[in-house]
Amino acid sequence: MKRAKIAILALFVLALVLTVGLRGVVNPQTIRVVDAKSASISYGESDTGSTVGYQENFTGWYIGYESQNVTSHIISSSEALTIKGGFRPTNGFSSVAVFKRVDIALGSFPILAVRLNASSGVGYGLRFYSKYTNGTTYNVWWEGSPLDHRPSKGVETIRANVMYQALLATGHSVDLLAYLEVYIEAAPNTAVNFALSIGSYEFLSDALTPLTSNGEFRAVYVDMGTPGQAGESWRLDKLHLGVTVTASPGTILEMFFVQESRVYSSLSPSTYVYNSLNQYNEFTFYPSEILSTFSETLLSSGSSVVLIAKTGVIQSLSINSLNLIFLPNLESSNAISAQTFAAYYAYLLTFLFSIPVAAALLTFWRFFRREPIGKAPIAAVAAVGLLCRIAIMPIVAHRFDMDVLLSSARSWFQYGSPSGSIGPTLPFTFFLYWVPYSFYALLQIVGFHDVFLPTHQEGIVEGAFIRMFPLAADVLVFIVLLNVRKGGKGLVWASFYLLNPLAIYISTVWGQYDAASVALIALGVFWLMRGKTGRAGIAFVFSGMLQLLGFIPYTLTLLRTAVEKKYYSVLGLAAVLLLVVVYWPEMLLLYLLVLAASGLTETLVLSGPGLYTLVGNLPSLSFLSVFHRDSRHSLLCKGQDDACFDRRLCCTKLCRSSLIL
Amino acid sequence: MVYAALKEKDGLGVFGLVFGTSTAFLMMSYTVGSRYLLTGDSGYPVVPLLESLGYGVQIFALSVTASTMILLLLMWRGRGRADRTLALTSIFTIALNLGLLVGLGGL
Repeated sequence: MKRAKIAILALFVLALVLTVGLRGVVNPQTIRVVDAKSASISYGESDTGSTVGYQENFTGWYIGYESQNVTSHIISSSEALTIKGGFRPTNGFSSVAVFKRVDIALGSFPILAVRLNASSGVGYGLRFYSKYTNGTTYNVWWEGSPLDHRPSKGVETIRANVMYQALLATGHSVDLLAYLEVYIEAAPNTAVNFALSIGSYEFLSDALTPLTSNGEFRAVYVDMGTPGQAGESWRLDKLHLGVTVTASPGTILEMFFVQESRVYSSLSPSTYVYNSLNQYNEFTFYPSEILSTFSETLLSSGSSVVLIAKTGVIQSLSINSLNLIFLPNLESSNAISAQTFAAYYAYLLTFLFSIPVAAALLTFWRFFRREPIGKAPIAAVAAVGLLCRIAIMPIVAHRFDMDVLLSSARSWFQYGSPSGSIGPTLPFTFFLYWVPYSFYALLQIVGFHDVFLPTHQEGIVEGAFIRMFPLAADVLVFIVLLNVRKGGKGLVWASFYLLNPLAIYISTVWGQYDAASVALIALGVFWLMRGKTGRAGIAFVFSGMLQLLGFIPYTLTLLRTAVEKKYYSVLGLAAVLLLVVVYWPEMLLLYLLVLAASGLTETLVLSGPGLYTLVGNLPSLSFLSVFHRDSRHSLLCKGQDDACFDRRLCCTKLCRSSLIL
Repeated sequence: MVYAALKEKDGLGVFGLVFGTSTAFLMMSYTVGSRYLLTGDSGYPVVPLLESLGYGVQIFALSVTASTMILLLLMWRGRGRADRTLALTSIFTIALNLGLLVGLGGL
């Protein structure tokens, strides 16, 4: 037994040495990391410096279309344009549309700013038209655009880059607008009187000035030029921005990525409410093209990160780090037949549910009431548990999180950079993923070529090494449970953990590390039972360095020791906390997580919405958001989720954050 | 499981397996979908009969919440016979999930 312990310890030390020694040594093959900070130039869009290129004078509007069941008329004045009337019930949708012939230089004044007031019970939309050189009119809108079919909300201010909308609508840039349209519509069988009043309708341009000092900016642009065009076989997986911002109190900031006039939002929400407690921020941006409105100026070429103040103003911004991370493109899964999917699914069910549950029940039946047990049943349970995990490793993965883990390990060993290791997962956790992965890095150095299954980002062997840390954590929980309770019952409880489909799912399918914090807490409790308070404190702090949860038993232990007046032990336990400050980024992220968890700051990146909780699913429970500001995001996120699976992934990812917290 | 072992709450210990099996299955089917786990692609579900049901996430949330309540109950009073608790909680969880799949999901 002692020999085995020494062997494991030696292996761990060797892995630590390899992890540090092989930093950046592996030839870059499976990741591209581009540091864009040095080439970036920041611009600010002033909150007050808009140039008005077109200002509506509310003359020249005419009713161009009117359904038969509608009566309407236009009231024009120098102050406003009002469209009034009534809808009589009919079987279909009905509408009235007013038009105006214009000549607007959209290329020079791309930003539309409208202030309007629509009465309740109707919808409305804003549309635009242009002309080809031969005089033919064409649509600069598409059915279902964000400016189309808008439900009335009373007074509204709309700001949108119509140049960008035109690009989405037509596929090319539009320099001139020839007609404007405003329409009001009603659902079938609706009888309602309506009034839509437009108080302001302008096309603007906003100048961008180099961001040199403090000011008041609506948006800040970080122009990266054209970094990291890694080629056809690569895709931009994520963008990592470390930035120090100052803004007016309560400013709501949102981040976008713009590349060649295409605007991308992030799969993970990148909106947060500015708080002076939290001036330094780390954004992880997973680009996903948006088909909604973009409110600001677009740079004509290159790539840029845009931080927009949706409310309030940005006062200053400085970039601490800016990295673009590319991963290889994957094959589409469409080539895989339905029969193959069925076989994969059956295989997954067998090794995730059938075999482990059957083995666990068999262990319960045979050993629950037996006191002395030999080593054979323990070895058998461990073998089944490990085999079930190894069997499913090559075919399953939570792609989003697997990419996060792979980016971390690959950027460390191939670029020597921790930039791929992005929160809310803590740096110490990523480091523990690297430790067993170092053996895979060694294999790569000696020329090993992995096998990549279609649609899988990770190689078969790589997939095993990247999951080795959570798998080892599962085994540690198994060992702790065997020691907490001796005999048959101990084996049953240990097997109910190791053979539990949820434990297998989280560590092997999902690749997550929850088992590690659980194992360390369990180990801490085990040592507490034996009076080894110092060791327990170390286990709890290490657990807390993986997930905040570990600090709860640590705090309780500290309090109990203080109440028992064991002051030297209290000092010793408090000293253990110094482990946290050894590595500054770990300390910083813990600080940000504590702020988010306590509700002192409001950031979707670091505080989890409860999409998969009752509060997140039942609006009737939304009153609970009073107790924690961030829980309101669960409802927000749910709304997005229903419409978009990508959002669901983002919420899944965020749900992980909530589990961490 | 550690708490069950420490406090000799056999009922709680056996329910760990029931809870984990039910939660893992619902998580696989309704939070991301098995096709996503197999290919990273969120397209058509592998088992449409089960994974295309309406209110999948709500089924997951309700089932896990109910199971968590049983877990808390067993933490309080989980010293009963393990085999009986295992049978009863298994039957209850299967019935609950079937009820949710039919009632809420429209299976």
